[in-house]
Amino acid sequence: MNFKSDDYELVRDFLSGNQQAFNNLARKYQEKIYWHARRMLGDHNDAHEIVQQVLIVMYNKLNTFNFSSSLYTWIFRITYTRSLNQLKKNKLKRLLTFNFNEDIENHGYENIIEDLESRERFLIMEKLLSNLPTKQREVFIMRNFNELTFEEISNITGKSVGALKANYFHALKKMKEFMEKNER
Amino acid sequence: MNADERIIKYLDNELITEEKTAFEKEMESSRELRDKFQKYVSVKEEIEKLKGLKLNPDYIDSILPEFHFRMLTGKKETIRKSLSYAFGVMLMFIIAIAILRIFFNNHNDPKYIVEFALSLNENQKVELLENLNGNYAVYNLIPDNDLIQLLEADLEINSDVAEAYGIGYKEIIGKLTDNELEIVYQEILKKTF
Repeated sequence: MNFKSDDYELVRDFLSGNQQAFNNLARKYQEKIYWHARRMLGDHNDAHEIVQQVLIVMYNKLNTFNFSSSLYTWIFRITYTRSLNQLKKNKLKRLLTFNFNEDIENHGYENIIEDLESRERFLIMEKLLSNLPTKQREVFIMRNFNELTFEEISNITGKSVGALKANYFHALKKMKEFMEKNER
Repeated sequence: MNADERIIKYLDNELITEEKTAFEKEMESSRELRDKFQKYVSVKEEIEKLKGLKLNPDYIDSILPEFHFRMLTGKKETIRKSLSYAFGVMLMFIIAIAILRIFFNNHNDPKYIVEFALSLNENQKVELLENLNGNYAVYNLIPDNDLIQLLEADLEINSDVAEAYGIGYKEIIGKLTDNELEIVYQEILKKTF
């Protein structure tokens, strides 16, 4: 059973009333949703909220999903939109509280990664990612961590492949510079 | 295409065969290009190390129960949220009305009215009294806007002006309760005094 037909069967079973099928779908995608939101937002609580929101949208809207794209792309599009909305909310919140520091704060659920060395490594990467502008950060994350092609990213974000490549180029160049500075 | 672009395209496997071969050849001879290339490779390696990160199993196990709990309580939440929004909108509306009233009614400020009364000359006072008593005579001594505002405003001004002309209703109203005073003021406003 391949990835796509597996999804198809789970969706079909859920839509015919099998709640366990939805639980299986949620278990399959929850980590992917969390990591994308976490890398975009840099905060456990925000990422957790996005996971919950995306699951709720999936539960309520799976009946409108027609498999014209893969389920992963559909879920990813919801995650991407919700994460962007959360970023806007956070920006507004910072503005209203007169906190103009754009840096992502690495806080919340300290033991989300159990291994200490990996956790430290992750927090450094998260901090470096937070220095990228949103458009560059999103394409960098999708391309490198989610291993999506530019065409898939274009399908999710609605941006042209050319614009995405330009943003990716700048993102990777900046990340190289950030890492150099960080090592000094 | 500069060195950074070529490196990024090479790493992303986006160079055509000829470009790829030329790039590899150049790397062999250029230490500078090799160093730069190595820095990009380090970024990619770091990403690779972070790709397989696993979330704390306790946290993973808590996601679905919370989702089901939210689905159960979701409707209540929605009603509560709607009520909060409605309350917020109402509060904003009340504040906006209050601000607008303060802004547009500043001419009813007693201080303004007293100053205005003191600024009137004899003829203007006669005009005002005539208007207050409903005996309209067009003098045009007081600008219409000021006159209308005074007629609609706190009638303490009437006491001042009436007193100046010996119309002694201040003595009468001195004996009245607040409610009765209000009725008298309303009567004055209706110009039936």
